[in-house]
Amino acid sequence: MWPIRKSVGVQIALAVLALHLACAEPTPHAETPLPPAGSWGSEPIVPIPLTTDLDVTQVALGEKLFHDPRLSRNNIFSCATCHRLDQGGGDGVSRPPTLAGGLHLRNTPTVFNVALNSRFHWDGGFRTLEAEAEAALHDPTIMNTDWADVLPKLQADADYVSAFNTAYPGGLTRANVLHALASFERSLNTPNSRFDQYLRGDADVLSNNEKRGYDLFKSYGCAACHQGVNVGGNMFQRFGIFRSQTRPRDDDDRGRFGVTGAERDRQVFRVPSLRNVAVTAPYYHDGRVQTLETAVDLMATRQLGRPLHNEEIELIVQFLHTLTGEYQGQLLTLPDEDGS
Amino acid sequence: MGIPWRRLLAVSGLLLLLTFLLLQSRSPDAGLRERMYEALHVFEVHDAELNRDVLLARAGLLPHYDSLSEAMDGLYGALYDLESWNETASEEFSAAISGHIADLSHAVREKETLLEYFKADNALLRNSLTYFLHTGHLLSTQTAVNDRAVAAAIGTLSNAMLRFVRTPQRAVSNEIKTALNQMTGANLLQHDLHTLALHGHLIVDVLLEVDTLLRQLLAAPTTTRVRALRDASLQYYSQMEARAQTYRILLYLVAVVLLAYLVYLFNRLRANARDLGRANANLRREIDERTRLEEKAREQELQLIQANKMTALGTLVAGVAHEINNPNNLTMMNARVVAEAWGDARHILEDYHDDNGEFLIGGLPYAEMRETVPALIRDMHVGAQRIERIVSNLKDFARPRQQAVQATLQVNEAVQRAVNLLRHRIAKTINFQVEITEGLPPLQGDMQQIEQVVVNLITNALEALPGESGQVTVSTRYNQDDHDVEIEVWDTGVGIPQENVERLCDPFFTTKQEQGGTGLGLAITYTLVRDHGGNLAFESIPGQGTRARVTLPCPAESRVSVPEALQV
Repeated sequence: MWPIRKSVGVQIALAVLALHLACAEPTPHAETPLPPAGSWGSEPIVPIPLTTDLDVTQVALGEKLFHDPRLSRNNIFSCATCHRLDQGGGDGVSRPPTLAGGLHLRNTPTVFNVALNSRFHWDGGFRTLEAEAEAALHDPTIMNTDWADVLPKLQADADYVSAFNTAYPGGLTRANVLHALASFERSLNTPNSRFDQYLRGDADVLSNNEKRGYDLFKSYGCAACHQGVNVGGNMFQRFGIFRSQTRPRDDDDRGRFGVTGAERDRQVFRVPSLRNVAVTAPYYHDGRVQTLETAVDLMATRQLGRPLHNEEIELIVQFLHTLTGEYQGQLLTLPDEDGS
Repeated sequence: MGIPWRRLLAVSGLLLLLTFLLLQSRSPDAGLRERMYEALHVFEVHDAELNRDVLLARAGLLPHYDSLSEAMDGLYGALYDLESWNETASEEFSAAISGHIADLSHAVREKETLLEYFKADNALLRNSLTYFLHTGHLLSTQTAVNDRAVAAAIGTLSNAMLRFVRTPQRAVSNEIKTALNQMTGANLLQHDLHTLALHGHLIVDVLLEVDTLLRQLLAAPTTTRVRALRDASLQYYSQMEARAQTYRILLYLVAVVLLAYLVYLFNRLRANARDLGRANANLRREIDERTRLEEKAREQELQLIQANKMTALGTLVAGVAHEINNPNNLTMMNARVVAEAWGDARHILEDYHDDNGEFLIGGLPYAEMRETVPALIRDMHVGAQRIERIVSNLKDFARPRQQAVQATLQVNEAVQRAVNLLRHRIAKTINFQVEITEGLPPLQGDMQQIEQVVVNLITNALEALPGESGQVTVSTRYNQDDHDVEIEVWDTGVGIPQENVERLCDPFFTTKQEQGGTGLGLAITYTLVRDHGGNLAFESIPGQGTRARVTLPCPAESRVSVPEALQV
């Protein structure tokens, strides 16, 4: 007899409790407010947060993995082979060579501020950094390996095993390797660029020309696509809206069509971030352009349908230079010519 | 008694059933449902944010697309929660909602595709609108001096564009396209006009596209999918709750059955315990009865042995007595003759002594012998008389066992006659009491023999008294249980040591050798009592007294009437 009574009693108690909670608790997800009307509230660009709240042991572990060639078959490449932190997070070449001796289809995008992108790769094929890293491991033209190869190599290293046991409850596993790598990538933000300082209220940190360049950047429509915290990286656009006067280069890169298979996505690429653009040459998805001036010129013509004067290009390029930020307190620079 | 497997099995089965029902009657996990509703709520909030920001973006009020990405991430996050939750959910529930989650996932992906198209097209639209307004204004102001026609055309175009942007209509778009095509005339502004036309065409094409995408985005089936998912889970939980309720009722019923069964078993146990107690009491009574009967049988056996002993002795003694009696008669007779002969011979011997002086006779001087011989003859006579008495007693003891008289007798009468017979000896005793119970049933037997029994017992009692101060009590009573009559002779005399009590009735056992006891009195008494089917028993405490008890059975025909007689 008692189980029924007890059960009913518990139910009543729960119901009363739930009702009480429902009345007492405010609606859990109140509508997020409109963008704050701060100094950058109506600006198309948002400054990078100055700090991240990442687990430092996981980040350190990820950094070690990032530089570890054991993540590739035959221990040839590490992530840092192409994503060189001293080379603006890229490799400085138009298209990196493949193992087979050819060239990769596309330019190496910078790994700096990578976590601020909403999609990864030029065609936006990945939604998460973990998925992107795993795909790179399996890609025969990149790391050309698999977990059956990588995990035993890492497990044979006592330092890794103990470091993973410290950083993760589960120890050294596939998911934790990916998470550590992604944690390191999330730590690669470059805040505190001069432009961010300007957005945060320091009006004098930019020269007049740089400010004029920013005005042109906004009024000429660049900011229609290059916007947000990463000045791009959060949308797709067709490459070549307006026909150039000269005959366009033959381009067999189908772009996002390779991911979605939608006809509309032919020649569509992710709008790249312009953060640190001054130190991440060459430009475009195939690295076809070596200088910023050319890149800006071509973009204006092909994407905006608005040929620019050289002075305008120069002003915009000056503005773009203010987007170079700091990693670990150091402004990103290119290595000396003779050093690279 | 073995282990009651069947009952144990029944109770275990019921308990198992109870456990099963208890498990089944649990309400579906409210925590899981809450988590699911939480995820759905998060999803809806992000969906609403997305729709809001899309409208803001279309109106040019959203400075960048990060919030759209965040909202999209929110949708995917909620979707991921739902999917991972679904993997841990029960199979039934998963089956009920998996399809809906898949639908929702599909809707999200479709919406994301639309959103990406919208963002790209909206960016183009905003760029071209900016360019169009900027260049249109520039051209109309700068060319006003040179080419009024162009300025007017641009003015018309701007007007049409304004109307189109406000309310996109097919007619207006055609009007704009016509105006744009006419503008491609030929003058210095050829290039600028061409670019303006490109942007104008782009606006007309893309704006319709953007608005179509906007409508599709806002009409995306995410909301309906969420509602369907919630309805499905609600329906599932209602079903589960109803089922749990049914199990709860079953649980109650089984509990009642179990309780009833336990009460039944308990009652049976109590009844069994009661029966067992009763059987135990009966058994104990039976054991007592049997012990009593065994004691009685042993007693009877001892009596039988004693009787056989007596019979054997009797036969022996009768033969011996007969053989002794004849020579003893000769001795008695001859002694008398010898005494007379000595009387006659004495005168002659006196004379001879007087004449001849002393002489020897029988080796002794006559003067001495004259006095001794008569004593010797007397001793002979007395000895022979004693032998005669013993032989007479032995004859009494060993007399053939047939009742001379079988008549109805009253025990009280026999006692009275015995007391009368011994009056002269009793008179010496200060305290002599006779306690007769009146109305005793009559017995079958020999009055004289019973009288002799009483006489013997009283004689022994009187002889046991140390002086004249003792007390002797004779009493009669009826034992209803054994249906016999009891004669008790009780004295306060010297008592008998325990080792002698058992031998009292043995022939020739006597403690009164010096007083001339033959040791045959009680043996005869015992024989007489036994001849009447009765029993003779003694209890004695040395220094305090002895109790002799004769029990004589009543004949069967008198049994019924006796208790009534006693009651009167």
